[in-house]
Amino acid sequence: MSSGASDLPSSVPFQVRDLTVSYHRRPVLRDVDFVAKPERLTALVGPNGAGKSTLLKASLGLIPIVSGDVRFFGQPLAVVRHRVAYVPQRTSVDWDFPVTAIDVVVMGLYRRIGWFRPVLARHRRTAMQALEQVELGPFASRQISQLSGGQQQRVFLARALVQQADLYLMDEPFAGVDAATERAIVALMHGLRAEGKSAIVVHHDLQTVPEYFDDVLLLNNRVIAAGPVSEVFTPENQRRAYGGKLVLLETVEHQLSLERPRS
Amino acid sequence: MTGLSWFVLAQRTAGLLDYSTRMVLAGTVLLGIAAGIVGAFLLLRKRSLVGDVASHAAVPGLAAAFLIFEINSPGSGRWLPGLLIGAAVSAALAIWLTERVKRIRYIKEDAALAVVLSLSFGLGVCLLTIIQSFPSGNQAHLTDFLFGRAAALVEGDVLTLTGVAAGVLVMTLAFFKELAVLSFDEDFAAAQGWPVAKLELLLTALVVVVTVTAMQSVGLLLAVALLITPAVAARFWTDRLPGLVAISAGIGALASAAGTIVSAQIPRLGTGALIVVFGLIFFILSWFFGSKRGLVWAWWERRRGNREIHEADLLRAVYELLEAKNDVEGRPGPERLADLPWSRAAVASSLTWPARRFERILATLLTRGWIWLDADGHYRFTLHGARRAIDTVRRHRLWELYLLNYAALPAGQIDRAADITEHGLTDAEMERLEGLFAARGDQSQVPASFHKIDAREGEPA
Repeated sequence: MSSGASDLPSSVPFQVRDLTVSYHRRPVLRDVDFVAKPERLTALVGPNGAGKSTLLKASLGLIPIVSGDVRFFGQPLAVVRHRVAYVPQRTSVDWDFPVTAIDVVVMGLYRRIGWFRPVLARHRRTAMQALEQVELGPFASRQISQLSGGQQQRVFLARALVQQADLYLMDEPFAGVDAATERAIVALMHGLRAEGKSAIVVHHDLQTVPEYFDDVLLLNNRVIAAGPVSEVFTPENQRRAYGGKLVLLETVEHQLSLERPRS
Repeated sequence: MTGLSWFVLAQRTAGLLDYSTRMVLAGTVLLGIAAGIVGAFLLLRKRSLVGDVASHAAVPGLAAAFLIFEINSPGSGRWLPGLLIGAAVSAALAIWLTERVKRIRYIKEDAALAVVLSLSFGLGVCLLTIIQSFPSGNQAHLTDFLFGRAAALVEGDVLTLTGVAAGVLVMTLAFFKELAVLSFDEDFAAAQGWPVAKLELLLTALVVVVTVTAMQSVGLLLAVALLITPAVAARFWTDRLPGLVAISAGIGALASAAGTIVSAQIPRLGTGALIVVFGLIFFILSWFFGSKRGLVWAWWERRRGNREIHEADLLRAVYELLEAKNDVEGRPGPERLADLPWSRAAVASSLTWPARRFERILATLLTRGWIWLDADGHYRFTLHGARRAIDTVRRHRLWELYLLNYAALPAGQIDRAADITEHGLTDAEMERLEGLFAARGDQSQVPASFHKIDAREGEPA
């Protein structure tokens, strides 16, 4: 690379350069370049299999990368790990696991607690505050399978909140949640932004992108477009990201709107 | 019984046993504890079959170690530390191989486990056959390690097992948080920077150590039962991780003790097999009677829940019947309601219930003193019963109106919906709802409220 990593300002929460990731020799991400802006909420959108989750996971070192460079706040992840919080997909864990809601939230503090040290009452208090922040105070001692999907998602958010990170990477936090949880998550994200934090969020509902997010990264194995929602989230770019699929959707919607008055 | 008398009992039982049986008992119980602890994490990590691979794959290592020593100096093959190391090495190799095979694109974990397990066990059987042809091979009794020969445990073995159990306990306590987060959410643990591969290695090492030390007592092939059965049984008793680990260790110890004591009385029954059988018995008992999701408990809960719903339905049916028949204006007080007679036939026809259920619920309400039969053969509410009926109807109608009029629930409330329908409205929620409807001037269909039923007043004389 001609431009060294050292010239990156530490204010840039997340930067990816020439990132290529492949599963079994099939590239999922190819030469992805992206710079997230500080104090912004960025939606990561694209069709299924576009590599949205892969981008987050590869950046966090959870899956190997073929080539490329990822920086958080101008540094490699290992240096600034405490400033980055990850919210995995809700479906990635076993909710029958024998832990309560507050136990899961306390896991967000494990790194700060450190090796060989027990969880103390003050850690549980911190976790409790985070649970109350996501309106789950009364559910703290419930086994996690006894929570609804939306509540489970909010437990995950609370676990990320206690980390007091500056950048939140969220993988589909809105998937399969009720309207109340969706509103709660949006309020939370906006609250984080107001505190000067940033979030990159894998998102599926194209309609809510302009309402919820400042920036957008349209991805389909490579970067289709990236920038402020108002500038780059155009029907043209969406069509380019989604290929034929969105066109089909539009057609169906059009037909439905024609049929509706008759029925 | 108090803890102390249990201790005395245990002491007396131990006193009845001879020295060698006591050694065997100590050894198997320590192993049961160690296996219970490690098994709990193995189960949660969804690696139960890794124990199976380890135990089967220990066989070729065991045999190979014997062959190596025997070839170098005949007669020295059955040197225990050497055999243990051989078994541990091949078990570890097999687990590593499983991980490699799993990464091949079209091979899923179950297939990888099956391939490695059968491959290594087959190899082990081949080597054992070769050993049989050695002059000292027949005396080696290597097959004892497959099914265990706990009776042969001596003081030195107990010392080793104490060390293993203590080591397992210390390691799992020291790395409790880390193993927990690894088991629950590996990606999250890795993103937080925990060395997940090393933690996984630690867990694997613990499994191998427990399996290999188990080969003397319960035997390699039954080791996996000792690892997993107590943990699975423990899951029926707790929803918390520390509880699960403790109960699993306890069940492991109990099953081991029971198996050892019984086999001491019946010499021809193998200790290892009996321990596993007792583990199975504890599993079945837990499955039926476990306080969390045990079958009996679940059945009883469901029955109680159904009965509560049926009682409420009957109360409401009577109320609605009286309301329609007597033209009760909007909100009858309990005194007025208790005054009104009703016939069982009319209520029965308004509920489409099987006759038996109707009789049963009616009888329940009679014995509770909520309804009574007057001299003319009419039923009436008691004052208390009338209050219950009004309360039930009020809850029901409030909830109906709520669903009807406020389908767009306020934030944070949607998740409560399931709860409310499950457990009925709490008093605080009732008041909030009433406030809502009062504000809308929409209370016409809701019977008047009264304050919470006084528990003492509720008791029939």
